[in-house]
Amino acid sequence: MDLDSVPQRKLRWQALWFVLAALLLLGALLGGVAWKQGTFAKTTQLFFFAKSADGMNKGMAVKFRGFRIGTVEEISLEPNGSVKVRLLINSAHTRFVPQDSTAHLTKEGMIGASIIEIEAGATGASPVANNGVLAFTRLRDFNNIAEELAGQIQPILNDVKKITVMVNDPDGELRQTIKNLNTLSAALLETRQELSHLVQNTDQGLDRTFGRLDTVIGNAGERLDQVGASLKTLNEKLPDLMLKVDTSLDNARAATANIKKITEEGVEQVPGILRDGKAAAEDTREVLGGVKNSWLGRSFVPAPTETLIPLDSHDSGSVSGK
Amino acid sequence: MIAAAYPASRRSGPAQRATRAGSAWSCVLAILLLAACAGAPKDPQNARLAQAADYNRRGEAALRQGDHRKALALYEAALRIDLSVENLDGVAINSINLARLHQMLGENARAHQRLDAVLGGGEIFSREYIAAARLRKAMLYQAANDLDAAASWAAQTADLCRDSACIWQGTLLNLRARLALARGDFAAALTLAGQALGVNRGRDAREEAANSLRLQAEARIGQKEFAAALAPLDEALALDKALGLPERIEQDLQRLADAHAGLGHVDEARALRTRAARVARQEMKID
Repeated sequence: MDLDSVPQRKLRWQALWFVLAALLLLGALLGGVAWKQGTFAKTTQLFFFAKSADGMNKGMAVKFRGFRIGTVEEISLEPNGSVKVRLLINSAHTRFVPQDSTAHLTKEGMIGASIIEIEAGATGASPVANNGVLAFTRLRDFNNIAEELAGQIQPILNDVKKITVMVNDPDGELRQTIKNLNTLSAALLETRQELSHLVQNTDQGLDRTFGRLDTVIGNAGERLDQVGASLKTLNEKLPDLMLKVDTSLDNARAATANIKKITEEGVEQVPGILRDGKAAAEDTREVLGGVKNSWLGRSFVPAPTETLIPLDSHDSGSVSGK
Repeated sequence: MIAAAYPASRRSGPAQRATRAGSAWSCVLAILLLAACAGAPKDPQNARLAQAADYNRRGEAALRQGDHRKALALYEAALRIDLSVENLDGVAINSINLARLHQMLGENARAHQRLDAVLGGGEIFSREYIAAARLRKAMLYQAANDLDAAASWAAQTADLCRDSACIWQGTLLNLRARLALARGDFAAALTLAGQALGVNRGRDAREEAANSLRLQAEARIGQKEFAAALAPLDEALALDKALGLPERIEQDLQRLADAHAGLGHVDEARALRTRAARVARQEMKID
């Protein structure tokens, strides 16, 4: 038998006890941190039923007047096609949730994260019990507003389209009016020629006077010629112009559809990104807060303190410098 | 080190190696636990105090950036929180800070009110902050050219600030030297500035040490001892440059110009005034 075996065994036992004690302490520390974070907090289970699970996801916050009081624990599809949502509410807060409360799906701000907001009823009912069922409504979000706006714009676009078709119709009133104007200008041209011929055959004594009249009429004729030419040009160009207007309207409609699609995608994606970022920041803050306030962390992280603005004798200014 | 603690006869065989490994792990765990236990564990700071400290720090940052209104609002927020939890040190600190900001904004009456709130609190505030409030009061009166009131408050500050444990001693001595200068008592100013310089150098308070040197030089200039003013001004200028304080650099250059002018060095005096004007121009641009 080894002479040193007894003290060595004793030392081994001491080391074992020391390790066990350290592990127990570590377990107690972890348990304490978990308790502090609310892992063992008592919760109350509530339900509500919705037509769709759009915008809802597991883990999203349940808030009452802006304060987080619980989370969405489970979302499931019922045999009748409705969506059943299970909430876990901190039991300490159920006193704020009477039985006639309503759950709303809403957003924090225009593009904030989706949350379930609990709105207390006005009848003064008693607080909701475990496994209670709340009414549910879906508040209008940015997507709904965009759809409503698109619905209002669509009839206006249809009216513009009708006007364009009417203007473009060869048998339409506008085209007929232009045609009549053209005919009238041609007739006026002929009248001018006949009048000129008649004036040349009248009394020579009136030549001077009629000469002037002829000049005036000639000028009028030139103007009418110009009108006729302009109308002709207009008549030729108008169909092309109308076609371009029509194409532009089609392009505008397509662009509007694209904007709506982008907006819808943005409405779906941006809040998700923001929510993820916000959640990550909150997690980081909680972890850091936990570490700072934990028994071990407190010893290493100094608590922030308030400081005095240094008293500087120069603050009062230099006497001789004045 | 662990191995050296055992005789050579014990350092052989698998059983012994296992024992040594166990001991090493135990030591590591013990060191970790001792490190965690080192010193008394501090109580966690409550959320309100942490928030007040945050406002205070943000106020300090706003002041550094020259945004006095924002700094005022932040210090007021910190003070409200400290009042709500009766954090006396915080109340005193933020009240004195607010007095300084009101003074900077030209609101002297409000500055006095803030300080009176601390000074009227009897002994509930610590001596350190009562002394700071009295000193700030003296500085307010000195800036308003009410020398008698300033001297009275400086004397009251000195009642709480007699030994070297008082952290405001160097500042107080400088202020008293400044008041002596204002009265035209250059000998007293020189003595007080010399005492202040010793205290400030001992504390490594370089800004105040530069102030002491400037005051010494101003006293020398007042006594027409222009040559003796040059050395302290050169040292003050070097310190102010190292600290990056343009307004004080400009004053050092002006005082140097005065000293050289007194010595009849017209060209040097002109060159120094040009330098001072250039510094002042750049400082105004920055503002």
